[in-house]
Order: sequence, then structure tokens, then C-alpha cells
Amino acid sequence: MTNSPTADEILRDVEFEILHGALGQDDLGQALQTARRFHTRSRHELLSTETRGRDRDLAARQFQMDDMLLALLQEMADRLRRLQIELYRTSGLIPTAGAGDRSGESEGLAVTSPPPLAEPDPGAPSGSAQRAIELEKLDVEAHIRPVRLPLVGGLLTRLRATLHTLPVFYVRQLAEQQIEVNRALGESLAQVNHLLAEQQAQIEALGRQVQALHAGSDPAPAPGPE
Amino acid sequence: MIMAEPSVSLIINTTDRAGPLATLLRALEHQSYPHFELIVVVGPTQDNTLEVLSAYQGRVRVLHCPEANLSRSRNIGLLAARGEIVAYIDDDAVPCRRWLEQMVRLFRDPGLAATGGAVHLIHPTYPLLQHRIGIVSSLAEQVDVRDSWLEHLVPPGEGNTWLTRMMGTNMAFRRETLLQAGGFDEFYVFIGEETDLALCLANAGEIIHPVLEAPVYHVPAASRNRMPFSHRGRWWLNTRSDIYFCLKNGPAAGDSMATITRRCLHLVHGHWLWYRDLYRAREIELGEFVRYCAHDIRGAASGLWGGLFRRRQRLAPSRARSAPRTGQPIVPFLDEASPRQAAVDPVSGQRASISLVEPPLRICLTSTFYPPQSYDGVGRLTHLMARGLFELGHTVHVVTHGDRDQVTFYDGAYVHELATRLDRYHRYRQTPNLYHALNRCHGIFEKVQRLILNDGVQLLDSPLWLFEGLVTAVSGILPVAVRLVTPMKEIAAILGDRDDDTRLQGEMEKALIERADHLLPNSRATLDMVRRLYGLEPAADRYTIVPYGIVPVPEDEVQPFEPEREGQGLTVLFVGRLEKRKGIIPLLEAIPRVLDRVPGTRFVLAGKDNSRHDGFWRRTGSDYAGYFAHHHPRHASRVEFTGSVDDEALQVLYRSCDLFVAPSLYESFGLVYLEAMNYAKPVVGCQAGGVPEVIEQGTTGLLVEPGRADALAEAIVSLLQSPARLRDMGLAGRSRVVEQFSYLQMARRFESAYRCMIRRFETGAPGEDPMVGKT
Repeated sequence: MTNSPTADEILRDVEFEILHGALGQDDLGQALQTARRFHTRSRHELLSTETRGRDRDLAARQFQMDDMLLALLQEMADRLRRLQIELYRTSGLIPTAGAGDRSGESEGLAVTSPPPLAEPDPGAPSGSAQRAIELEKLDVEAHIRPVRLPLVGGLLTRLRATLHTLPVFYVRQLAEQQIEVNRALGESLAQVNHLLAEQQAQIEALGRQVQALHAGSDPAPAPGPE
Repeated sequence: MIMAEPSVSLIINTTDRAGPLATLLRALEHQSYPHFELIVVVGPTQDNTLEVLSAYQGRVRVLHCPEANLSRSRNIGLLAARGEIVAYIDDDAVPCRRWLEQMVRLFRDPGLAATGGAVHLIHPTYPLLQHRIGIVSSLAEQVDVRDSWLEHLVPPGEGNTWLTRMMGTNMAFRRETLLQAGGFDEFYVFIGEETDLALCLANAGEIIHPVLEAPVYHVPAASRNRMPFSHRGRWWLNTRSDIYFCLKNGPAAGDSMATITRRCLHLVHGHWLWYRDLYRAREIELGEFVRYCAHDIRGAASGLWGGLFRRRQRLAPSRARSAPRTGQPIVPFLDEASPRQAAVDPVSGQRASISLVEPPLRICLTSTFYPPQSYDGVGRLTHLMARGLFELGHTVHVVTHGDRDQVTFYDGAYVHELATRLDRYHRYRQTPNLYHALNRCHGIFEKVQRLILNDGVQLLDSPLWLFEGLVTAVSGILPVAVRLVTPMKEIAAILGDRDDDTRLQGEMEKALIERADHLLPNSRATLDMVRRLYGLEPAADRYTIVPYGIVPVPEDEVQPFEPEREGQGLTVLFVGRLEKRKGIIPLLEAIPRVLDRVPGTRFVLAGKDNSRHDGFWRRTGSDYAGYFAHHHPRHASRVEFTGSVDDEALQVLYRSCDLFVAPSLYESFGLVYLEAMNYAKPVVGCQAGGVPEVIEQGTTGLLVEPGRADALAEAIVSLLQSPARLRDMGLAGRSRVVEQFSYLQMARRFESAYRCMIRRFETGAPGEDPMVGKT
């Protein structure tokens, strides 16, 4: 901050944070934050260890995919935010919680806390999320090259197989954690999709209402606070 | 499909808890959702539960359960319920005002089978959030508090399946679904029945969706199964329930028998280790330790037997079919008198014994500091306001600062502590006070939103100090009243602060005043100062002058000066932070002059030394006590610097002094003078701020020019040398406190202003408060 801020600038920031909070403090925002935290922690735990070669490549590639998914989610969340702002603008509501109902009744505050019914239960993922989870059966099998030496070949092959079970065990754990990350992302994606569809439906309904009002001979005032 | 206003059957299961039940019944009068019937299922009770219920004859359906079995009691209530939704609450909990309303809102989704909200444990010393969006595994492992759906999605545990659960003290079901599921498994005598049911419903494909909203406040009461806030209880029932739970639900979820067996052994062993720790910590006796361990084996055996060889004890389909059909009319619990019932203390069950003409208000106050943890002048005033408003029948919520987010109930108010979160306004990090204050304002705004959703608060009252109500005022979500106290700009001028941080805080104060719906200055002087400093001219209908009040002490604690003590060493008391604004420098200069003329006098200076913050240390290299000792070694033994003192010690100091002095350069009001006058002590203050509105010159004390050490010394000496004036002024001050400055009178003035501003906010019409624009 090079120049000293003015009171008006601070108040504009306050208004922005109210708007931002109205969108970021709902369950979707919290879910996204949780997914990010879990993702970051898992990356740190897995890639900071002395994992080598193929295991590390596998994990790193998966994390790249997660980054892309998170970016996609962020983009969708931004789009949702823009749609909500558009909705406020169309309907003449100020973008604060309870603006449409100054006594703070539930209808107005539904802006900050979208009806939770729209969210899928964590125990019952939506269809698309379920399919996404099913497609991500990450697993690693041990590929043991048999030793063809006479007499001791079989013994050495069994020894090699035994030695391979340890990394496979840990990689499977890694894969299980990764699947959970993906599950979380899938859930968030489903939530975003659902909310997006709701918002679009609302905008279309309001658009139709506005058109109807324009077409009418006795135009009524736009809905808004007293 | 649920209709527009579905009926609810609220079921309370109780045994031997008449006191908490009476509290709950009183609290339920305040529910915002009117379409509910109340069913109380009474177990084999030994106390006056039925007597308590008789007061609600015609409004409550009373049923009986022949044994102390919670699941069976719940099922009896379920079979009698007529509502489309069945809600359960424990008899030792109190719901928020909009509890049922929030639950019913969720059930508008036809796919929802069950829901539950948060549970706050109201503990005298360690309140905590007991439950929110909890999950449970197929092996009875639980994560009860989560911030969001995805937190702890992969919790550490052995169970294969993790599903949503609710807590028994705050849950609701669609009645038809619950009947189809067979109700609660009656093997669970005391605990685990709701979790088992949640798992069964989820496994049957039903949707359970707990919410962040709709909390209840849980005040654990004693029962035959446990002693509250102690480690004594029939814990073997937990072991019994958990093992049964694992054996019934584990195999269905695909847990191997080896895992289930290991989990069962861990349950018993874990309890043994806990008992051992309790014994080592001397919290239970050796006999209890042995008995607890033996009982755990008994519980494990019972759970094992039930889990392996007994069928589930649910309602038979024929009994479920005998339940009333949906759509039958209910007898609502609320009646025409309910809206005017006074607020209830959820811990003691007490409420104001006054008849309210209008419905009580739901008020949210803010104060950075609040008793009993820590408090300053604003905290003390807020506490008195909360207490007075509660005694007038209103529900009061106080939002304050704390180490972590928690809720408790203290002296008439729900106290919501908020931990500081610096997660916004990073642009202002270089002005740290502003940065902290803005983040705190935003935290308060978010809390207010929750309080609207859950408790239906109608207004926010914020002190000007730290502009705590700014974000809420900007949002326009609620009417905001601002208690005007000494403005930051004035303090900055006295302390010589001219940095950006202080300037911007002053600007934010001005913004808050401009956006407030109503101003509540504590004195005419404060209002004039705000006008002068900020160039604002509030309209006459936008402010009410409300002088502060205190709790008058009982007459037997009042100690006016006794003339026979003339000639003995008298005590002069100062209370306040040792800093420039409080006039500590002229006082330290006046003390030697007084001691030279009245040698036996003793001075007591109580308050935190603030020399490092008001520039004194920088100039002199010492604190105030050190400075006085160095410059006046001859008088040092006659002056005691106590530092900060707690409230109890402070009252002793007030009671034991003979004269009170506080020569503040500016006070918006001066609560300390009232506190001294409360004990019939004469006071000396300055002609500054609101002090002349508190001290009647020559009647209850003396006023001197601010900053004049000689005049201050003269005033003190004149009183010390006149025992008759000491007594008369003290008694006159006491009368003034009782007649004009009691906390109840203050609360009535606040109430009047609040009602006026709420009316104006809701209707846009001008207020009709006769106090508006006046003192």
C-alpha cells in the first residue's frame, strides 16, 4: 500500500467483502476450501518423502490433474458469482444478505446460505460424481520378472516378489488417498453444477417476469427493498 | 409431499428431570413456528415432573413409558404423534427461537428423511460445540464436529462406511419414513439409538441432511445414567450399545469379523484405560474403578449377546400401522399468551416475573471484552445492559471476543465468543489496528447473520469504540444502534496520535455514526463532542441520550463517612488506567501537596499502568509508580499502586475509601463516579465531558478544571478537612444513584429507544418514543 487509503475506499472494500462473503461463506465455498487444504496437505505429505521413479511420477501426474480440476472449479465458482451478481442486478436487489427482507427473514438470507437441499449427501454422491469416482480405480500391481537361474531361480523370484509387496502396499495407500481427493472434487463439481442450474433457472424466470412487466399496460415496480 | 405449513410433533422424553423440563417448556413458548404439538413421554419418574406438566394442561400431551428406556420412550412418542414431522429434543436442552422453522424449511424437499442441527454445550467453564454435521462409521467411530461436508471425509478409523448422523438432542424425521423404518431399536437403553437409526435410514437409501443452522443449547443435567460435568456414570451402557452397534451394522457394511472383534476389544480396553487414568488422577475411588471395569465386561457381554443372537427390537409393522394417519389435527402448544412470555435463563430456568404488554425484544449487543473473562468500561456497561434488559423480559445475545468460537450463558445473556480471524482486508495490514478492527467487524456481521437465522434478533447495538457494528450497518441487514462513547479522534488528540491508523479509525467511527439507525449517547457532552469532531448534526429523532446505570448495592453495604473518624488517616481512592487521559499526571502532582497539608492521608491508585502506550515511558524512562517513588521518596510510603484488580477487590476498595478522585481530562460519562457514589462516597472530578452530568457540583462532589494539579489538591484537602461534607455529599451521591442511575432505569431507556427504532426500521414511520431526542 503506497498511498494512504481513504474512508470511501475502505467502505467500498467493506461492501465488496459483504458481497464476497455472501458467496464464499456458503457450504460450496467451504467445501472448495476444504478440498484445497486436503489436496495441498496430501501433495506435501506424498511428494516430500523419498518416493522415487514411477510412484512419484504417478502421484505428480495425479496432482496435476487435481490442479486442473481445482482451476475448473474455481472458474465455475466465478461464473456462478457473476451469474448471481447478474441476478441481483436484474431483480434490483442489493447483493447483501437479507436485502430483500430487511427483517432478516429466511427468504432474504437464503442468499448467504443457499437451501441446503440442493446439496448432495456425502454418503450418496450424485450420478456424474459417482461415475467419475468409479473411473478412477487407481491401483498398482507388482510386475515380477522371474529369475531363470537353475535351482535358486524360484527362490529368488519369490524373494523379489516379497520385496515388491512393500512399495505396492504404500502406493496403494497413496492411490486410496488420491481417490478420496477425487471424490471430494467430484462432489464439489456436482454442487457447483447444481447451483449453476438453479441460478440459471432463476435468471430465466426473472427475465420472463421483466418481459411480462414491460409488455403490460400498467407496469409494476421492480421487486426490491423498501 | 409436505404442505405449505406442515405440522410438527415435538417429542420430549424425560425421567426425573423436572427442573430442566420446566426450563425447556418455558423456552418453547418462544418458538417462531406455531404449528407444533408437544408430546412429553414420562419415564418411571420419582420427582415432580407431572406437577410441572400440569401447568400446561390442554397444551401438552403426556404419555408414560413404564421403563427407563430412551428408545422405547421415543417410540411411544412416535406412535402418538400426529404431525407430518417428528422432532426430538432432550429435556436438558433449550432450542434457538427459529429451531423448528429452520427444520421445517428443510423438509420442503420431499426427498429428505431426517435432519439435525448443531448442539452447543453450555458449560460453566468450558463451553464447546458438541455437534455439527457429524458422521459415524459402521463401527461406531464418530467425528461430531465438522466445518463443512468435506472436512474429515476420510477420518481415521476402521469402519468401512461413514455416513451422516444427528445428535439425539436435536433431530427431526419425516414421520412416515420413521414409522416405515420401525422407529428406534429398543435394545439401546440410553445411547446410540439415534446413530443406529441414521445408519439404517441411510443404508435404506433415505437422505439425511444435517444443517449448520437450528442449534440447541445443551445444559447437561443429572440423570440415573450420569452426573453432569463429572466422570461418574453408567458408562458400561455405552460399551453395551457400541458393541451391539458394531455387530449389527459392521457386517452389513462389509467389515470383516476380525475388524469387528478388534473394535469390540478396543472399546472395552479403551474404557478400562480411561478408568485407570481417572483413578490415577484421583477422580474416582479404587472401588469405583473396579466396579466400572467389571460393569464394562457385563455391558460387553450384553451387547455381544444382543448383537449376535437377538433380532432388532424395532416397532412391529402392525404397531406402526396403528399410528394416527397423516393430516389429523394437532393441538398447538403455543397459545395467545406465548408471544408475551419473558425470556428464560436456560441454565437456571428463571425469567423475569413481570407482565409484558408488548412481545419481548431479541437484542444483539457487542463488546470486545465481556465478563467474566475480562472487561473494560464498555464491557462492564454492556454487561449491565444485558442484565437489565433480561430482567425486563428480553432475550439478549452478546457477541464478544474469545480464544475460540463458543457460546455460553452469563448473567442474563447468551455470550457468543468469536476468535479473531484475519482473513480479509489484507490491503490494510500496514495499519494494524484498522486491519484487526475491520476483520472483527466482519466476524460480528457473520455472527449476526447466524443469529438472525436462528434466533431472530431484531437489532444490533454496538459501541462506537472499535466501530464494531460498521459492516452490519453497511449491509443494511438489521437496524443498528450505536452507543456513543469517547470518540477515537478525541483520544488520539489527547494522546497526540496522528498516524494513519488512528485517523482512519476515526473515519470509520464517523462512517458508523452516519450509517447508524439510531444514536445512543451517554451524555449531552458526548453528543456535542461528536457533533464538533465529526461535523455531524443528527436529527432529533435519531438519538436518545441514555445515561449509564449501575447495580445499587444493598443498604447494609453502604458505608458513609463516620464523623468520629475525624483526625484518623483517611483514604483517597483513584480507579482507572494509569494514563494521561485519566488525569494521572495532575493527580501525581497533587498528591504531595495534599500529604503536606493532611499528613495522615493514604492514596490508593487502582488500575493498569499504561505508561508504555501513552508516551510517558518514552519521555521519562519509567512507569508512573516508579516516577512517583523517584521524585517524591518522602511520600512514597503513603501511596499504593495496586495494578489491575478484579471486580471483587474493586468493590472492597470502593467500600473502604473515604474520598474518590478521578481527574480525567475527558470522560464521555464517568461510570467510576457512580460506582463510588453507590457506596456513599463523595467524589472529585473535572469539568470535562459528561462528568458534570454525573457529579452535582457541591452536592455530591466537587469539580475542578481539567489538568490543574493545584485546584485538584485544594478540592481534595477541602473535603478531607470537612468530615460533615464528606458524609453529606456521600449520602447525596447514594440517593442520586438509586433515584436516577440504576441499571434497570438505564435498561428501560434502552428498551424504549430500541422499540422506537425497530418500528421505524420496519415501517419507515417516525418513532413515537417520548425519550427520543431527550435524556
